[in-house]
Amino acid sequence: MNLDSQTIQDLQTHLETNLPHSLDMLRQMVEINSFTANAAGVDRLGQLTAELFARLGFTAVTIPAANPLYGNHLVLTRHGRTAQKVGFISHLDTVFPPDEERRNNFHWRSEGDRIYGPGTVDIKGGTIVIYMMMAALQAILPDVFNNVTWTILLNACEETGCEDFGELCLRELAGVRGGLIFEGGQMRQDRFKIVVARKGMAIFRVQVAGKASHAGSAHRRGANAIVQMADVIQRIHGLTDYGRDLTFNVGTIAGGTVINRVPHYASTTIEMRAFTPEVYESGVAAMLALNDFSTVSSADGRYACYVNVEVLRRTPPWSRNEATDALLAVWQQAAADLGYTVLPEERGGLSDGNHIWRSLPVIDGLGPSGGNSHCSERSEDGSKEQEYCLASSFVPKALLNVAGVVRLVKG
Amino acid sequence: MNNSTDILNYLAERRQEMIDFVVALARVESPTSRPETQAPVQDLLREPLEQLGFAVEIIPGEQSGGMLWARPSTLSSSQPQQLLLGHSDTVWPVGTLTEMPVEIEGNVMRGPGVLDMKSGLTQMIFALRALAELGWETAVAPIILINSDEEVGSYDSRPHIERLAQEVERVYVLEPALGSEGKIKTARKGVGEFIITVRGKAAHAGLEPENGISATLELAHLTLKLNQLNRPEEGVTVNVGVVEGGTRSNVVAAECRALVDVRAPTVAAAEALETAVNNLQPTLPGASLTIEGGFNRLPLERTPRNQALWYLAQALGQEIGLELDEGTAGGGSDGNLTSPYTATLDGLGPVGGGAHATHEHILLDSFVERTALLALLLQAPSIKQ
Repeated sequence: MNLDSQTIQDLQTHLETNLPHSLDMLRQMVEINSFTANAAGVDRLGQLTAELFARLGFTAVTIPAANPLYGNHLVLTRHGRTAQKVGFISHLDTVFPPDEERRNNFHWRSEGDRIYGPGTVDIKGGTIVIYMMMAALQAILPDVFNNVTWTILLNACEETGCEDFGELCLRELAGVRGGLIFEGGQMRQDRFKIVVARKGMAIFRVQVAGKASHAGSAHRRGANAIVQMADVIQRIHGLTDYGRDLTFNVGTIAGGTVINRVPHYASTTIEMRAFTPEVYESGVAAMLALNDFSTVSSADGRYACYVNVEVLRRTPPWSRNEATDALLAVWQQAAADLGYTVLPEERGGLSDGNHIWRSLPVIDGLGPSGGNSHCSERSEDGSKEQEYCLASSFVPKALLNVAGVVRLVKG
Repeated sequence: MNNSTDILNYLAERRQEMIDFVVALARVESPTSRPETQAPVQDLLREPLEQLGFAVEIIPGEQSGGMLWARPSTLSSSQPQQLLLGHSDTVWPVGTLTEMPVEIEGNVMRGPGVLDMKSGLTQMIFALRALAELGWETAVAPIILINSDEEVGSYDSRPHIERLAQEVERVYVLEPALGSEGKIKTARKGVGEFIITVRGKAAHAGLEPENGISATLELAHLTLKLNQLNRPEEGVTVNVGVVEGGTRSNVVAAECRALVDVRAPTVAAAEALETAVNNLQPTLPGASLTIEGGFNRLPLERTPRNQALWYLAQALGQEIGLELDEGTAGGGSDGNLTSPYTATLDGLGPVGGGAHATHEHILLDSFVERTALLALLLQAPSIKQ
């Protein structure tokens, strides 16, 4: 169904009227620290979120995360009169520990159109967009609101890549018309970007064992693990292939103990990113092939360094696929009704979409527009700015998503 | 012609007195890092030197506990001079004595600083006293400099040492002998340290990896270039000993740091190595290197004049029944600072082991003969005669 202009106008008016209240709810959410490891904070935010949606008739169920150190996932459901189901995916956690927020004076701060603060765009603002959509549907399109079963899933530990939440999504969202993910998404004037693919990521730890020795009296007997690691790092960088969207990043290195000792140990963490499963798997295989690699020995020839590679984390890519493209087409049609344009975006970062796209039709980037995710610092020269969302993006984002959902359930 | 055995006999009779003096010095703890602990050691040395007719002065230090400078009160400027060089500082913090008391067990004396180098300071005093009491004239006037920052690189005392080195015709350094065979140290490697900071540019590894400049990759390139500078067959070594850098696996690293130990056996090799390190250039466009440090002490080489002094020591050793050998030390001392200016002989201190280690000790039966050797060296004629 396409929306008539009066309905569009009514929705717009409702969303605008509801915006101050919605942003006040966002402020309350942002003021609760919900760093992934702060389980109590995550649960407090879950409680506030459940109370907010209870006003619209949603019931709440909490599910402990698989990792006992983390808080509870939250499942909010409002059952409809028909079998139609739509799923919304957000998360409760942020990447900012409380002391980091204090140290960088990173708090709710409204400046012009920008609202700075932890989680404003990643992803508490996204949760608020869902709330604005539901409130608008209830008020303006009550039949749609009451016919459909709405399920909102909020991950307690998205930022650490917990996989149990993906399994929870697959259970709760079986048979949905769409799994809608509310990470932030770009919006410039009337042009919106919808995320339709995300890179996969793998994290590796490469450790090098050498042979320690005194750098002055027994240099010949030492096998320098840092030198071996340097050789390995060059080879890993050589695996990067921009033509195939395969990249490797040697993120951290550490090795040695004191300056006058030939180092016996060095280690490094490496992150790999790729868009397609084939390239992803070939990258993992190339890394694992470095196991037992050795090119550096002690000068006396008695000891050789050796290399050990482990995979610490695997999150395969969310590739372009038909189900996602079909959802994209729905949003593009909805956008046309509103005089907007929607463009697909293949993004480098991960989301819960990476875990569920094979089983559910998903699109992402439906939350507000903003920037500087994961950054709590500000620098004098402006090269570092804190995370923010744009207040002016909430209404158009919610309106587009409402139009998309209405097309989806009645289309 | 003097009889060398007179010296041996004289010192043998004072063996206990010498041991007591080492014990007294070692029981005054004097780490480099605590300048105020040096004065009590300097006081213990001042009194016997003044009794021997020396004018004793304490030259204050900027950061260290200063240095004791002693010269014969009758010294005339035309007289040839020889420098006795030592240090009063140790590597042991105050309080070490409770864990590691000064102890004597048979032929072995243990304790913090007994080897490095409170026994060497004792040898200076007793060698000079032996010459005075036996009435042996020294053609070359002995002067003494005892600094208190040798263990950290002689930053305060270096100008004084270099100035005196240019005024004297030879230097005897009372650092411990090399190894259990008591070798004289006729060569020391030069040792240097570099701190290299590598800077790139941070970027998100997933969203915009192409905008980053990886400091870890630049460090890898740098490490392999540094490693190429090793020349083990020439005794030139480069050790990338410690590296660290980067923040998270999903961020292109903006900064890394490497600590590099360099050693070389000759001044020429050290200078070439220092130049090579300072000339290292980054490989990645946009990356930068900050290279700090260098050789603190250049190598002590077997120069002709140093070797002449060694042959003299070898011959004098034979007179008192000592079969001496020479060796190369891996690390530096203040002998490295004097050698460019004048004949230098190092390692004239006692035989022992465990310098800077908890089993630091001296072998007491070496003490008398090493002190006798020093007295004979002091009494050797001037090369100008």
